[in-house]
Amino acid sequence: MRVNWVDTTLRDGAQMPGLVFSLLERRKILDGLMRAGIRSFEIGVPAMGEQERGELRDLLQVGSAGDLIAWNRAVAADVEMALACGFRHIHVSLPVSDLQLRDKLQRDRRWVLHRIDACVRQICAAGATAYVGAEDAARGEDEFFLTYARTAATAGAKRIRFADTVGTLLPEEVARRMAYLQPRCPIPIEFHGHNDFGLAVANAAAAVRNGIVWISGSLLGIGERAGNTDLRPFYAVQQSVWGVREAAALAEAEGVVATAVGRIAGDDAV
Amino acid sequence: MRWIDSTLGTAARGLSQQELRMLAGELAELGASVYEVAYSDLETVLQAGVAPAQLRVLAPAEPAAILAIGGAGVKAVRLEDHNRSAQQLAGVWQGAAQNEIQLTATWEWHGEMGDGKTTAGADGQSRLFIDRQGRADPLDWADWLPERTKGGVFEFWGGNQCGLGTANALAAMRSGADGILAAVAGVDGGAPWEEVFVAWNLLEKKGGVLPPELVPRCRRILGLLGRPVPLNKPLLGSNIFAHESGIHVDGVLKNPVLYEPFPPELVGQRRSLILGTHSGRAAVAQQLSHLGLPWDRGCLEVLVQAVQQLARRQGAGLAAGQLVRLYRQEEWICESTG
Repeated sequence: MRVNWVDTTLRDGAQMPGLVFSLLERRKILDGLMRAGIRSFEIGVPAMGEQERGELRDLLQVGSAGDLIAWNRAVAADVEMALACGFRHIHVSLPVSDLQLRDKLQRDRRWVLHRIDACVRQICAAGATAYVGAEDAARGEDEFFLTYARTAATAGAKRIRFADTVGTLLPEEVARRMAYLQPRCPIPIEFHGHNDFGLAVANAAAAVRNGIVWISGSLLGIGERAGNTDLRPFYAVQQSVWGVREAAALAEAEGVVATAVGRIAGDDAV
Repeated sequence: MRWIDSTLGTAARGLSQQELRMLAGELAELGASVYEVAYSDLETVLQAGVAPAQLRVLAPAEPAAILAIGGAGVKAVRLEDHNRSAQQLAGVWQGAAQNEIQLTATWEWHGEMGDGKTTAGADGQSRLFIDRQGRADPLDWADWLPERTKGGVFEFWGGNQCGLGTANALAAMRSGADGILAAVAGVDGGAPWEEVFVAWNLLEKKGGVLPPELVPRCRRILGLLGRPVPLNKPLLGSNIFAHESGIHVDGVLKNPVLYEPFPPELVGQRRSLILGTHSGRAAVAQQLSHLGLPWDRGCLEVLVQAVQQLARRQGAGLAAGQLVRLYRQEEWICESTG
């Protein structure tokens, strides 16, 4: 079984507090990942500003060997900015837990379904490929996740991200929920874990064992708080436990990441 | 959760007697029930003042060694010889029992789950299951351990090279393990004790009380060992409750539960908001208000741009004091719109 990696080093990874990648570093990381055989990359957020959009346009020129994805809030203007940059692969994200809907957006589920439908149609109408994110799905209800997935799929989305936003899932729960969700979901699920309790790799592995073939994570596991699923140990698990052969020379790209992390104030380092 | 500590044993040769005493004190406050040390380090640790009753010694399965350890007042030994059958250990077992020493045998996993040579409990011995390479999967351990340990007392130690150590230790605990062998921050190459302990109590909802000074104590221990703490080390890193991106800061200011798995104070951590390229209006406004600096929308827009540009120029987030300096540079805007 092939497991596909969606690398988010340059998006969620870059949101590690205090971390700043230069454009040259972003190019080197992307190039290293491509040479290592990775084919899907989340490379940034166009809505962050004109300078960011300029850098993203530059990175789009590098990336002929893979799908370069723009991450966006499910906001029409943000999607328009991604399209104007030249992105052909566009991810739009909305929370699906009632907690996030109530306390962050002051919205309800109906609003979420309407919004995701509109954004996915906007992307598809422009001829681009749409992916959707289900933020905080781990703390949400599975049936609403499926309703959200069906709405997005009907509008044209090609993949849905199940996000364990604060890293509170255990491997057994990931196994149970993925085994339930994937057969009922009209599009492939991508598992996106966080490492708050040191369980991100185990959770990604549990997802793979239960039918998930898309895993999201970053080099050195960088990201918000304790970060995301770390690519290197994840592939070590894939090779040793399931016999998957995806030998990847990642040291060069990891070195660039480590250098940038080393600039963050303080004497700690990854 | 019974914790057999391996931090002290890992550090025994590199620390002074005073440092060893401090280390043992911190570990005791965190809840270590016993410290496992190598036979060759026993004298060093005893000279540092660690009580024999607090120790378990890792020793060869030789009657003479067991007797010598017992003579030092230690009442617990783990045999370093792996995968010995009950018959092979009969002589050692008998000698230990006569000297009231509690023995623990070691069983190391080398491959497939079905190839175990022995079953904990069949001979009345306590066993430590070891997954040295950390390659076994928690879902497999959860299936395999209950079958192999029916009625027996067992402990678990899992290597963390592949990032599975914590999940495997939790699987062992759920399967009835009497305790785990682990070190703070995984300095022995295994599952980090603090990850297993906090996940066991918060995610598995076992209701144990977390020491409020858990993180500061762990960080002091790592300081004694001369080990840096990675920024994103789960629970212990200084970024664990730090937030920079606009969406996260906005969310945390509305309700911290949105982007934090539990309150930082629970483990002695602190929340912080970092200013950098991903900062938005909410983060800058919060920092200005915290500093007592007046602002309005126009001032805020200018400062958000200035913060992002400065972070890009210096290749890192803003250090303490830099926002104030930016504010003073842009003060004419803030005054004119304030």
